[in-house]
Amino acid sequence: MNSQSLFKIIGTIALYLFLQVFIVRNLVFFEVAFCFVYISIILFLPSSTPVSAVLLIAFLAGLSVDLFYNTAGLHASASLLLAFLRSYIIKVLFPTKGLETELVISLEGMGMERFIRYIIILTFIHHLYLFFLEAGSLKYFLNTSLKVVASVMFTSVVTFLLHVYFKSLQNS
Amino acid sequence: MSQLFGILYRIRHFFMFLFLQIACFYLISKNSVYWDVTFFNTTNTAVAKSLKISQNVRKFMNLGKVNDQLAAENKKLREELSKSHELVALKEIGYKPDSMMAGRFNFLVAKVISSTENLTDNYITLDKGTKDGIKPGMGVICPQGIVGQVMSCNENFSRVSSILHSNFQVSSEILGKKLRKEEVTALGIGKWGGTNPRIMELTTVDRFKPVSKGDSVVTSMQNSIFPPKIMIGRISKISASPSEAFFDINVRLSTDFSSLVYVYVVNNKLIDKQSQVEAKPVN
Repeated sequence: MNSQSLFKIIGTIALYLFLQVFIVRNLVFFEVAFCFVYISIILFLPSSTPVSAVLLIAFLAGLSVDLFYNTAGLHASASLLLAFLRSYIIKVLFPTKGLETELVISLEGMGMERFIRYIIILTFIHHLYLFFLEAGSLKYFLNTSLKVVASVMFTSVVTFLLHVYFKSLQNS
Repeated sequence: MSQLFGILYRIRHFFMFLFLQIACFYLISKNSVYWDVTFFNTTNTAVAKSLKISQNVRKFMNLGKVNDQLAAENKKLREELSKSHELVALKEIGYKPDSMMAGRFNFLVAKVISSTENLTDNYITLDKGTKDGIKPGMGVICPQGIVGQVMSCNENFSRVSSILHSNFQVSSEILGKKLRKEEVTALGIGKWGGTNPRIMELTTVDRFKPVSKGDSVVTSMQNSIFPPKIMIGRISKISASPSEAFFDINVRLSTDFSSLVYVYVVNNKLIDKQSQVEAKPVN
């Protein structure tokens, strides 16, 4: 990993956090669909990043989102879980027999179908954990489930579109 | 032994995950204690500053709405004024309103710089703090109705737990035509149901009171943090199962939490004296 790609990663993290805190935080559809686009930070880290670094990045990113959402530890906990499961899910979804680090996590590197599957599965895990932890109990099970389903749809679409948009900006 | 270390080395990431996760849950549990909010909330000054900037943009876009709110409030104040002139007549039946008691509430205007309305426990951050005389425990209202109660503050900012909070309760009274005609008062306890940010539940209202849909719900006289007769909302649904003594009432809140800009913090000057009397044991 050279310094150029390191700067690129830091820039991406800052960009997504800015988007989350100042713009997407105000977008809530029908009081059930939320968008947590900051998980793209974890989703699109290069697969060669060491797991400990992924965990640390997820923890810090989650904590900074928490600061603005008034929910200490909640987003940090959810994004940690996501970061921990990421490597296993990549292994299960894309069995490459020891070449996981060669895999490029992007639309071109994975193909449309696998890429969308990857985004939706990880987003679903994150949101399921996040909303049920936030509710604190199964008391509002139906309402929370509705929030999860609606938010997964919203976040996945936004994540996909932003990824494609940023990639095309880089290439042009 | 070396095998053991080998296993430990292989699951080192799991240990790191576990350690950070424990840190998260420590923060979560610490944040849910009612009074103990230290670092991780929007009263944290650096965060509050940046939220203030983003709120300034939103304030500009809401200017038209704010004007409407101010106009509506002015109208209400005029109505109150005329009503208080009429109140003087009440003196003739023997009740003498004490001027100290009648004027025990004063108000502080504050600006909302961040708010949530879709979580299980919702909070609002205000741009005024202890420097302006705000103390934890004070009530917060807005032109349309009640907002919540101050839960913590530092010098420049305060954090308000809104009525959309799982622990919040407010003593309320129903006002209606039939109730006035029969000269009965219907008191109840208002509590948020936890799902819809526009609906509140009203419990312990006697089911033999003539309450009807559309009646307004206001704060009762038995409130020490809110002035009496502050609007809470209107009754949108009434139901009563035959086996129970109380109505199940849904109240449509008059406060729109998504467009709050200015709020009034209520200071009850006599609250210390009142709690002093109430704390004394009866023998």
